[in-house]
Amino acid sequence: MNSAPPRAKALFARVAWRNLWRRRLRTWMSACGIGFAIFLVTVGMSWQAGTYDAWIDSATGLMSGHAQVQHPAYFDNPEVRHNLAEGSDLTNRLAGVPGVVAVAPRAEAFALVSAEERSFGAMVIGVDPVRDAALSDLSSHLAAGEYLPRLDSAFVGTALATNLGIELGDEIVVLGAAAEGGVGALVSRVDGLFETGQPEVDRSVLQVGLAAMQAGFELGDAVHRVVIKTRDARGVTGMRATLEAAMPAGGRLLDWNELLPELEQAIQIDRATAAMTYWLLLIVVAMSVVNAFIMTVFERTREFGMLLAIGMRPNSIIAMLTIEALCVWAMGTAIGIALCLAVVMPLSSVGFDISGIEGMDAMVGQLMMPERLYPALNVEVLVESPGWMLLGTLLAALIPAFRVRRMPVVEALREEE
Amino acid sequence: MVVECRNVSRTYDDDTVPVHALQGVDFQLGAGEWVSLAGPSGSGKSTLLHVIGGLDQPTDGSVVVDGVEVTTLTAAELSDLRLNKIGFVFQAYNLIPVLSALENVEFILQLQGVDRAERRSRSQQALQSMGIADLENRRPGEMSGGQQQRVAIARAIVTEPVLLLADEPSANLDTSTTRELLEVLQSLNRERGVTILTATHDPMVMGYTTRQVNLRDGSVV
Repeated sequence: MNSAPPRAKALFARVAWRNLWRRRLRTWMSACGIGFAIFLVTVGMSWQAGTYDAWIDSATGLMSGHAQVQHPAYFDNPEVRHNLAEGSDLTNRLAGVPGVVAVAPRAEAFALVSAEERSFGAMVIGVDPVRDAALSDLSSHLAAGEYLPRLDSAFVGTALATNLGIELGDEIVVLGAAAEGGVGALVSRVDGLFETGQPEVDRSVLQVGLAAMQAGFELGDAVHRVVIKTRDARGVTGMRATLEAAMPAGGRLLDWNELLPELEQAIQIDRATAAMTYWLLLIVVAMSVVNAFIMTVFERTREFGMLLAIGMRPNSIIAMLTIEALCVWAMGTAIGIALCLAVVMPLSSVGFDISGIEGMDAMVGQLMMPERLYPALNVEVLVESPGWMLLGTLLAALIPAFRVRRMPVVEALREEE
Repeated sequence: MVVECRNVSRTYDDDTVPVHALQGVDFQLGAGEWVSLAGPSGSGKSTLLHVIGGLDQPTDGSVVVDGVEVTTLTAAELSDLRLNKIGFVFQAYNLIPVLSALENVEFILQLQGVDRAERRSRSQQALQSMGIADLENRRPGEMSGGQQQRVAIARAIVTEPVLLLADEPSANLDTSTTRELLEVLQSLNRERGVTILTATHDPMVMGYTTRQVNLRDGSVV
């Protein structure tokens, strides 16, 4: 007492495929419904993926990079003494890790910055200008002067410069706690001003040369962060093991998710909000497929009764209906993916100008978003909605199909077609 | 005996009053017989046919087909019994509309797992024996009622069943087509020894059968 023999399955597929064309309009309506839903969801997801890439690039590009190596206590307690010795060696080792595009060491201290009679607290960051410019956009936000042209140069935020009442060429004095517990101090000349559009950065950050910072704050070769830029921000998690192998024992590797938790949170919230819309859309389409299959089962009740009467098992009939559902899904998926590719592929290379859109111009300025967004196609985008739609279609087909299991053969044979 | 029914009853529990479709029916069908179950509408002839064919279960009694007690079989076992031992011909032809005549006949052999070459050969022979070999590529919608019923008979006999059940096979056919159909069934019965049980109230059908069993109000009279 076996179920349908293997040879019969090819027959079921043939019968199922032909059955679809008994109601051409209904089949096309169902396939187009699935296709349209997949198109909307994949385009939406590729737009989101492109937006997230832009968010990540702009957020990590200013200061944080894709990952950082720090002293284990520095992230929670950023004191000058929590530093990594032999910063040069560490920088060189990390620069040699495959997939790493740029590496920049930084020494930092929260210090009092004074110019003539005014003083303000600020984050003083010692950087290697060449290495830092390779992974940070800060130098490109130059508002006046030059980006750290000399060893004793300072690159100051415009708001901080205004607060201090300084201009290009003026001298500033930086005072803070040194690594060994004494007073750290350095004198720099303001050679450049930057304006990022982010008030917090513009009024509380200044950069100086790394060597001057290390000398002034008794750091020797020590640094507080080694900032890393990789080929792909999203690929950092996969590189964790190789990066950690290049780190000193006791060092701590933080990726951008940990460095900028608010960014990851914003992405998750946006993703969840969009997912609700996608789910609603997919459910509505699945309901229409349920309706189509209920109609199918009711219309073909006598035919199913005949198939049961001549010895076909209910499961074989359900298998046939499932194949019909799979065919409709495959047609819908082909339509949806083709439309998605037709729309997204050109946009992913030329981008979409968002600066002219009302409300987006402010976002472009304040969040340093690029003026053009590039929708991103990836496996997740192309697989997720067809995958959920497949599940929905199968469930939609199986719900009415299981009516066949309870179908009394004699009554089914009496049904009018 | 191909069929042996003992004290078979079938009661439908309707919402209002129970309907006794069969009441204590005793019936036997020997190998090579062609028996017609006759009687007016509601007499129980179709119900008895369905019970013998394993399409419906009796409320009481015993039904043995080719030595197998049908009433104790599971749903899956009943499917296999119908597939391998019983051929059905229905009043409304009941062919698969998306398959050609040949494919309709092949379908049942494919359910049995018969290989392609044998399936094709047996199906063509079955259609030939029905005199419709030239229609093998036509779908049911492209054939007359009589032609469709011949395809249905070809499908029913291609598995070489021990029993052919025909429920009002002439109901939708005109007189000349009915006669042609009955001659086909007669030749199957006489020349190939196919055992046939027909439910009918058509006197022309009864005239062709070797024996007639009359039913009235669910009982053999």
